[in-house]
Amino acid sequence: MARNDRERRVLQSAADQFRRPLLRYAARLAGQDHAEDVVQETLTRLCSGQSQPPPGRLAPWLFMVCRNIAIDLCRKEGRVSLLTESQSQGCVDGRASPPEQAQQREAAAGVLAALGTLSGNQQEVIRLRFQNGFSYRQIADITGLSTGNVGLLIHNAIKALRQKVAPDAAAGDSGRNAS
Amino acid sequence: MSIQEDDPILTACALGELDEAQRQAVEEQLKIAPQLQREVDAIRQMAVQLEGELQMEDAIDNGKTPANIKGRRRVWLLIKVAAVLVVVLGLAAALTPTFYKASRHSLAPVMPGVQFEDIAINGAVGGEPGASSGSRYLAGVEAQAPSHQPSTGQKLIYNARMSAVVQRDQADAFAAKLTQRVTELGGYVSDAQASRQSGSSPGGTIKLRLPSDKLRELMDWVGGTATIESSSLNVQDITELYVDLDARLANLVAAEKRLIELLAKETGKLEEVLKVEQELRNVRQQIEQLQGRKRLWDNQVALSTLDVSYRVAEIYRAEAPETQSFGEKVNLTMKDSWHSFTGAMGRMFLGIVYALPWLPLAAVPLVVVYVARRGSRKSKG
Repeated sequence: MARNDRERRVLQSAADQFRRPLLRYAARLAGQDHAEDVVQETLTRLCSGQSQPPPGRLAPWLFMVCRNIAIDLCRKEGRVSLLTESQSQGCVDGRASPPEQAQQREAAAGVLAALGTLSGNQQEVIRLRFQNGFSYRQIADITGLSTGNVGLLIHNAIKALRQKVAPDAAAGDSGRNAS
Repeated sequence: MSIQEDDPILTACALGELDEAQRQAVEEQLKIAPQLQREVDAIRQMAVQLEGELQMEDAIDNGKTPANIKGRRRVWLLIKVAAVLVVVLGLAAALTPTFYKASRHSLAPVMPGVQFEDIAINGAVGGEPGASSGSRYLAGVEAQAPSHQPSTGQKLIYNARMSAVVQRDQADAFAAKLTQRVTELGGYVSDAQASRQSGSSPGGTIKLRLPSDKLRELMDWVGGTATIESSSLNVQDITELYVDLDARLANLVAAEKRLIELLAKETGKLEEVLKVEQELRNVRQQIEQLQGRKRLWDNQVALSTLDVSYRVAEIYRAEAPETQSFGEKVNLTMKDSWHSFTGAMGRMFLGIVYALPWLPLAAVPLVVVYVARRGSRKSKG
């Protein structure tokens, strides 16, 4: 009984901790309307004990399950591509009015605006790395890509962001002499 | 081991993804190749920026409750009212000739109560350095310094940009004076670049960080020292986000405490202990991230950022007819004309060089036409 209680508390703690990041991730993969269902199903799988996360890798496991569920849902609905630009844009909370959205966009303008122009898989790995704090290895586990591929995607994405945000600096100021 | 500037291993190094042996090997290369070190620094800078922006996005999502949405609507209404007020007062003031002259390098006043705004003033080159701030011409609107002391607990981040035109041969002196001035005000130069490219006027950019309550003073000083082409001020109110971050931090600290207690009582299997420890690591990681974000915000609130770009404008020389004799004007015009002529000739020559590889391609239809004509002549003959 005590063990069940401990497990329940651990699972509850995990659910509290990862619910919001998972919701955000699911919204980008499957759209805002389905995010809640995807996360609910993810946490249900965790609690049901049908498949258990490897020790010490709960977070990547949750994101991987969440991703698989979202992909299945997209396939069922005939949506082939993940993380299209419209889905990324659609992640903005529907309750906000246009001026409020503009305000939020303005606040996050610059890097985030440039991020929105990258390809879907680049955006995904960048968010997993910098928003959720996963390592290359963990991102590889979540996405099913190789670690080298993840590294290359992140490298190219950062390079593209640098060029978009500060093209002169990224290109290298060969003609400039520092004073 | 040879590393190119575009090698993904530099990104992996900057993000701490290399094992010890790889890291040491890369760091050896960085020591002997400064351009690689600069590349790694730039990647790290972008990583920090990304992390900050994405966490701010989190905070915006998390803090979006119906109550503060209403609050934002009120703020938006206030911004609209303020904008109308500024336009009306601006039009009224613009009717006076002195306003136009002064507004070339003036700063717009920050309207009280506005949570988030961008203010930009653009002016033509040629304004007179040393004219007083345009804010005093906006009668009825109390000019509030961008660096005014915010009310208790309010968290405001100020980012300003100024584009200045300095007199000929004054570019270096301007940069030196600006550096000295910001040091006097308790700030520092975060980044400085100077350009002396052939064919363009000398100039540069300087990024300054200084105490927020000194920003206005420095902007006024720049406005009085050089001619301001454009200036903009961005004020971001992160009070709500900051409070939200504090609350999340408190919750995570409480969760950490609970997990530590759970771990102390844990008598189950090793696997369960490991699970709890992993949870604890995750919570601590989040706490560290939020604490990092908080430190960054504290720094941004305490120190404002001012980006100053400056250049020596060619037009500035041309706009001083009062001090030049007719002969000097003729001489100057001739020089400008010759400069334009040699530039155009150079570009034309480069255009011909550029077109050379394509000439054989263009000759194909000519050969076809020639052969066809010759054939028809032979058949007629």
